Amino acid sequence: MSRALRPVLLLCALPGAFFVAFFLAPMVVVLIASMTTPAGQPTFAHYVRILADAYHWDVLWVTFRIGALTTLVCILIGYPLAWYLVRIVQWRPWRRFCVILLVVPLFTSNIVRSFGWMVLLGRNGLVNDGLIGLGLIERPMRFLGTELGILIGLVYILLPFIVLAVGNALAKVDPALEHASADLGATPAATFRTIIFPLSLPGLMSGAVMVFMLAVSAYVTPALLSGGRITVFSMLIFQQYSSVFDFNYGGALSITMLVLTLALVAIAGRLSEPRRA
Amino acid sequence: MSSILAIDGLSKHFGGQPALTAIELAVEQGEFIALLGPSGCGKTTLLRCIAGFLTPEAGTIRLAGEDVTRLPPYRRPLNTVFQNYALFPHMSVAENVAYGPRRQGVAKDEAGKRTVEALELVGLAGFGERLPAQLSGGQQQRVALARAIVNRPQLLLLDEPLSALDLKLRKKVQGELKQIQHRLGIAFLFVTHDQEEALTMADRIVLMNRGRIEQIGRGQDIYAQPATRFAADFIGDANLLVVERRGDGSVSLLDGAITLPAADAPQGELTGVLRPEDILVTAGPVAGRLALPAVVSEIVHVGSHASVALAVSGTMLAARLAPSALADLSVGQPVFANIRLADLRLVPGDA
Repeated sequence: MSRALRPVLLLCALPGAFFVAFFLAPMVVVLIASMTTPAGQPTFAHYVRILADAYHWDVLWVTFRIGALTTLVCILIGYPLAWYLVRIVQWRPWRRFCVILLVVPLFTSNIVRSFGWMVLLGRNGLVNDGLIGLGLIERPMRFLGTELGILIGLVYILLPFIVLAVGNALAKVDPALEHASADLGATPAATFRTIIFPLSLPGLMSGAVMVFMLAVSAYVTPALLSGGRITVFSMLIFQQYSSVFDFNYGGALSITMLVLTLALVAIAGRLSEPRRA
Repeated sequence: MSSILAIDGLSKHFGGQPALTAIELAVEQGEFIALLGPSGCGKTTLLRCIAGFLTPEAGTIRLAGEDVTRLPPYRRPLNTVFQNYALFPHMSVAENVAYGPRRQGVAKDEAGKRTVEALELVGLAGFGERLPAQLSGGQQQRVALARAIVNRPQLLLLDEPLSALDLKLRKKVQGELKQIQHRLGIAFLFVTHDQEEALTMADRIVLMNRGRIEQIGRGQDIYAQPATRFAADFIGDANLLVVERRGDGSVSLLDGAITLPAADAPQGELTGVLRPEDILVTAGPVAGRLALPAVVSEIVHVGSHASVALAVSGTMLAARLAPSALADLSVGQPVFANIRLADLRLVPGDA
């Protein structure tokens, strides 16, 4: 080993050790547990059991559907919101206030916020009262225990991720590019379609991937807002670990979930990739 | 034939501060015009008004006879080469160049053909598939030019397009740009703060200062007959002399060493302009010239010539000499600065 390399390696050792201890090791423990019997014999029986059971597929379908819808709604609300904050707001204090408003909920506990939504979305909650007051509905709608309720809760929690990712990407687009586009005869709509949107796509994708991953793996929000009527995959995992104490089966469920999520993200990434690498 | 570009009484303010005041300018077909001035003089603001990125408070802008003052940029029949090129980073060179024709509704095949032609014209044939980031600064500059001329506009705006290039490359591109302009017959309106660049390239120079046009004319004319003190100072080197008006209508310069009748001189403050090469430095007085006693206080060699600082009646004058004339000159030596009164111009402006 050369002398110059040593301090570099030493500097890398700490984050490396941290990564191994807190990310790699737990993952390996779960992976090993998922492929062994409680007695420690290697087996694929857990995976066979999961994949052969139609119930698991139903729960997976619900989970990924909620995740996809959450991502879609977050994009539809978050992109215009990011646009507003970056492009339209000129007064800096107001922009700063909006960003703080957006980020502050992230500092509060997930549980507290989900309970808040339970109150708001209840039969006699503010949302139903409001909708009835406006004459939009006659009788209270049921939100709790529906996918719509879970969707509302997840969108609320995950929206900041999209807004921050897209806002960051939009702020980086050089205004001179818009001028050049207009100069070459492009209407504002064409400029958005051909220049701004493609350049903000990487930010949008990273935000969407984050939202999707967090939405499909969310436990607290779906658990509280489902009212026991809807089951998502993370609840199955939680059951195995906390009630059944079957760490091997729970591990297999976790790995299944992880692999499927990563596969979906990889496919989405491939589809949205520009033509050239 | 009407002008390609006609600007009439154009004014623009930024938050109460005037950025452009009463601009009048006409550009004819195929002309190469340089908008020259120090930074903050309003030349870029004027360019942005013409391109449509800024709306003036007063005045009109006509392109080929049509009033475009209130039209958005994408409806104006002109194109721009931007200072930092503003190439679209996610598109190939060919896509960048084809962008204009495509937005104008030209069919894909035809746009492709024009793109190839434009890239050939700027010497980048075969570079179409590259991304802008894979090109050198000089090549990016050519792509920006190809993209701006592919639509064959009648007027091309260039916003300090060479400022990001190093000196040697800049000289080369200056020549190429002039050739391309000549071949296409497009009027170029070229913003620069570099007087040498303006003098080498432009048919006419529009000299700007503090949001106003100081003088419009051919480079050699502005040099020989500057209209204002600013014009004399900005184009080339000049000795700017304090002018005192005297009761009898004449003026005196250099503490009374020179007196001139000033009946036809402009009103207000005056400055005397004397170019360094118009001063003849000799050991004795020269016949037919006004010989001012002087002392050599500094000699600076600049290769092709030498710059000599002379103390004349307590004022420093710069003279330009050929190296051969320097042989018998040394610092501290008393000499004569011989000038012709015809070379001394009185212009408005405070020295």
